[in-house]
Amino acid sequence: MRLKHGRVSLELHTLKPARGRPLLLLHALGASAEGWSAAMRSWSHGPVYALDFAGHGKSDHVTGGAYYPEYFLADADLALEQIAEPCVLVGAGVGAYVALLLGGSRADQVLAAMLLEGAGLEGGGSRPGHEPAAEDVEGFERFIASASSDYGRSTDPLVAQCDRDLRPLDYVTSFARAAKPMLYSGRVGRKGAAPDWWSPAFEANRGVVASEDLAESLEELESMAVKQA
Amino acid sequence: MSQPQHPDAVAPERSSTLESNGVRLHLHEWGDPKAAPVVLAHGMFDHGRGFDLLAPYLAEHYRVVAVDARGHGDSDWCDSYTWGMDVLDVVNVMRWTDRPAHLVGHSKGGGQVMDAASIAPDRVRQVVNMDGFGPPDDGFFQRPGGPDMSKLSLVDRCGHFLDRRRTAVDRESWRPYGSLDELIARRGQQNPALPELWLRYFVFHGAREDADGWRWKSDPHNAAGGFGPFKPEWIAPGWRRLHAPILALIGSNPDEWGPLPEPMLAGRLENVKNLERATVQDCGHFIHMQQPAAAAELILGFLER
Repeated sequence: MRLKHGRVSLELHTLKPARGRPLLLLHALGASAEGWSAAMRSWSHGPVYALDFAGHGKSDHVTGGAYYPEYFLADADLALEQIAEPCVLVGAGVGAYVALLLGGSRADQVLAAMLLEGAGLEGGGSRPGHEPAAEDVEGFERFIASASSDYGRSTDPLVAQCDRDLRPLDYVTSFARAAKPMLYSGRVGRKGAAPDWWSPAFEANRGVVASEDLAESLEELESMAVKQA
Repeated sequence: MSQPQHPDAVAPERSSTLESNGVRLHLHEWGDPKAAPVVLAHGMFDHGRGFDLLAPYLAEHYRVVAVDARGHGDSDWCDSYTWGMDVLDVVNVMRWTDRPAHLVGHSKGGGQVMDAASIAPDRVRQVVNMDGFGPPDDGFFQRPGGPDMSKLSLVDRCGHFLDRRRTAVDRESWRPYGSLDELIARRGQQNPALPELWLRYFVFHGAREDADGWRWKSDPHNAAGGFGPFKPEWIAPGWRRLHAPILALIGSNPDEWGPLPEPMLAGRLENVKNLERATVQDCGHFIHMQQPAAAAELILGFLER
């Protein structure tokens, strides 16, 4: 179904129609609803929806290219409004960051969430780079070209800005504290450093490490939702 | 309706368009096209024709290019607005002029030319910032009729942002006013220090007459605002990166829009290496509209050094 975010038309896919507790999937940067695994689509507790964020998949590109994670947050909030029932969220990469923000800002409408690795999870760090060596405009443009080379064909390259936005710890933990406890992928930080915000959010959110087994983690997510409903 | 006249205003001699990240920007030009460029950036809800009083002075020596920012004046509307994309637009105008430019910005445009200078240092000669030093330390310019955001938690402010995105952005255009006079009166309430004759000229060029009345040309989605982690405390350290000479101008008469209290303003500027400051007498935030000759004298004196 189509959602209107101002003048931008978004695609909210119904991957599995059903009755019960809705699952809303929020994809990683440069991905789309098409990329979700069969396991995720087989959520056995209710309907499964997957949003294409603006600039991705079957959603419109944002004229002028001003993408930022909180814009995707508003995309996801419109999906919540459309579904019109409290949802369980699974977010990957930037979708995980959005799920955390949404869980905090719409705590009454987000029952539980699982945060997974993926493009756009890290952002541009937790503190601004103020030194003279910080990136100039040509560096920014090289970053956009390089980051977007891995994105799906339908993706607007300028969404890469959502992998260099600042995510200050006090900002992120405010949302984490207001949100119900979430499941955090144990794979984040295993290869290379976790995003600056990951551990502080986990602590502030009283988070739980998700099972390595996807089917198991989805059951954990459902029991978390039941407990928190 | 006949075009309002102002005895000191000079309409642009040329106009051009430039595409910047998929957006068509409207540019107004005065002066010798072969002269060194001065790029002018306006403030929120203003437009490039707001420089019609200042530009003629600068155009005696320079090629003057005033930009209608995206979503303002005759430039395209966008689906979303961020500070960063506005700054890239300024950089793209400098690329378009094809030689290092002097930058002059007012209010929001003043902050944006500072940031454009910091990310494109090789394209900038000097920067003049007219009362564009960021919001107060608590981060808030109070939205008329809106909640007192300084009293809300961060998460609640985000909830307000999401509510606005659900509703305010559905507005396709500004509501029409029955006459240009009504639109002028509205702007006059927001900027009571601006003379009526100038308001009439300025509002006329920032509005259009439709079948059902007069509307602002600017995109109403600008009013929906954005949300994010930005902190005013990032401004001063960020300006450590500036190498171009900076002239910081404020007006002598504080009003609703500025200037910042002196200790706060001094703090914002403490890391600017090559700084001059000046105060233009008998004006408030809209320095270039209230005292264009005095502002031009200071700017030209600075640019010619």
